[in-house]
Amino acid sequence: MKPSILTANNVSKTFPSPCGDVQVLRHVNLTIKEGEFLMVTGPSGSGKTTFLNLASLLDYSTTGRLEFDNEDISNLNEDQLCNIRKDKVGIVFQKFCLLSYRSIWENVMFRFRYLDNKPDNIQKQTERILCLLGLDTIAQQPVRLLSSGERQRVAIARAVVLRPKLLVADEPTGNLDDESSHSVMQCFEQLNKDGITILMVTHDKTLLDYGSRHVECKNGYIDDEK
Amino acid sequence: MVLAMLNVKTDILMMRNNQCPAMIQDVWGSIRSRPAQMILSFTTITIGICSLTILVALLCGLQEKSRRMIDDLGANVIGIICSSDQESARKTILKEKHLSYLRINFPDCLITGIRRYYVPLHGSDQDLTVLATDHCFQAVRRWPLSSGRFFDENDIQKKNRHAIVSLSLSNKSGWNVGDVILLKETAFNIVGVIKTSGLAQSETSNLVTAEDIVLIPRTVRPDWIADMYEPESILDAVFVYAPSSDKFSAIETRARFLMSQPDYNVKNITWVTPESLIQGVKKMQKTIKLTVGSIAVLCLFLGGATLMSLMVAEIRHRIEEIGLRRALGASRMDIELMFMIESIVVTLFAGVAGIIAAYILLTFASGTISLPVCLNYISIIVPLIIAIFVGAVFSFWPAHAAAMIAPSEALRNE
Repeated sequence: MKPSILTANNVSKTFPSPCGDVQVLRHVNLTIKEGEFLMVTGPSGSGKTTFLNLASLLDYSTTGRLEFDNEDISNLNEDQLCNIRKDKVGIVFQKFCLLSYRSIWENVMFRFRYLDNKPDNIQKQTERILCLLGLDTIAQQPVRLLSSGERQRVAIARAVVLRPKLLVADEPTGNLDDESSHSVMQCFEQLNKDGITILMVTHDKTLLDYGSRHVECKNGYIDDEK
Repeated sequence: MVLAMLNVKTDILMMRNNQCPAMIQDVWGSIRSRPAQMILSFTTITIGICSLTILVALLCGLQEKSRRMIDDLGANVIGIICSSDQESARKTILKEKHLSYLRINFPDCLITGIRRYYVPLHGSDQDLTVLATDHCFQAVRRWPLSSGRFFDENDIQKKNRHAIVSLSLSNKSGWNVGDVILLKETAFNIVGVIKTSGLAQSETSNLVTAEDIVLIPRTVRPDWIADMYEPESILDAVFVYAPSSDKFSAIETRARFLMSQPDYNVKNITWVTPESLIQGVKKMQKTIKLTVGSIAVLCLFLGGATLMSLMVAEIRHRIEEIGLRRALGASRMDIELMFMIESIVVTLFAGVAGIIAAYILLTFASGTISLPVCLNYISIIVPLIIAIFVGAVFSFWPAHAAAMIAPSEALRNE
């Protein structure tokens, strides 16, 4: 049986608002096993991104227990979460979040910017991932000159260059056309085959086939049985 | 052109992307991505630092002037200087008899008198300052001889047409010991070259200290004064050298008392002592501090406020980048430091530019303004430290605010 990367046990998340607390996630119980490609779908405002933020250690749960790589992270402070996040989590954003005045190479290398102990072979790792994603020939181009599909591939390259325990992707095809979306999904599929665990949120139900499992988020509940 | 330069530098950085420290890359990346904002902050801080450098250079210059004037006057020297330059007024002011009275009343002191003339220089439209004095001058003022000798008693008594020129004048005119110079129609033989501080700034101070001067015996009757007055009878200044610093204030008090007696008939005189020189310079420093200092503080405050408001706008613009950095493992401190270092780098370079601008301005203005300016290491270090301080202080709050944004909030920003 494969070990779990992320385990949510009765996790809830509440945001304060002028009209009172708003519960965005309600008693979520979910386990993501190593090597899985989990797709999360659901309508807008259902709590998908909030769950993704908890999974990528960018935010805290209000109640419940959250385990990441067999470590209870529910009570960790921000610095401790930051230390785990920078080594073990790769994140792909819908808006790419690239440094537009830097080259593809510099953007991918930026993944190592805040690492305390940088691996010896970061150059080779970067070259390898750029090759894998078909970006090696344009590595010195500034990202502001790239198409949306290429930008998203750069963002994926940056997220996976460190080979994270968990790759979290928040609607990575949201800004792409069909062709680019499928190209990007093929990248994810390839990375998953290479052993990277992926948690991905999407609105596009045509992409669900790329995942190995699918859960739906509705009104803050995540149905793990689907 | 600026953009072309930016692109060249970008290429250099891209080539060296593995060697550059990450922080330098971050700062440079930020500057090149928003050159307009950076140039605006840079310009305002540059103006502030330029004003500040001018202020510091002026204050240092005044300090230096004060020191050199005291050196030239002499530590235990009291100068009694005629305040009016009018011939008619002067004949009722300082006279040879006052010099004699003072010599009688202060037998322990060395006392000398000076009469000043402005003589047209041959081949130039400028007047030369000629100081007619006696053999005691050297013992009182202690200006060092560069070459030759000073007048002796024999020169004074025999009314020898000897002259002593200042070193600066000697260098400019090529006059040396043994040369004969023509002051208007009178020929003088140069017997010595004397070192002066070269600080002649005003009518009063060029009797205390002087740059291009010629000294001649006071007993020589020069042709340029025609025969209106006896040259010995009128003086522009009298200098009293106290034998020790202990007796200095007592001598000054007594001399002031004597010169105020009705039978001395002395009016419109200025008393110059090391203390009065310091007071004068302090007064000037205070004025400059208030005027140039206010301008510098105002410019720096405006520069800092501009920097702060641009940083606030920039943080809003870069909120996604903040989120990305936090997602990749940057701590709050990393974000705070990044923004602070960025603005400190801008203010530091603005400081350097401001100092260079001030140096250029002062170099060009030195020919037209007579204010003393001293461009030394203090006038570099103080503005640079203040530039760094302005960068740190005015960026602290925006940088702190940026660091306090939760990563999930920053990434959610639209």
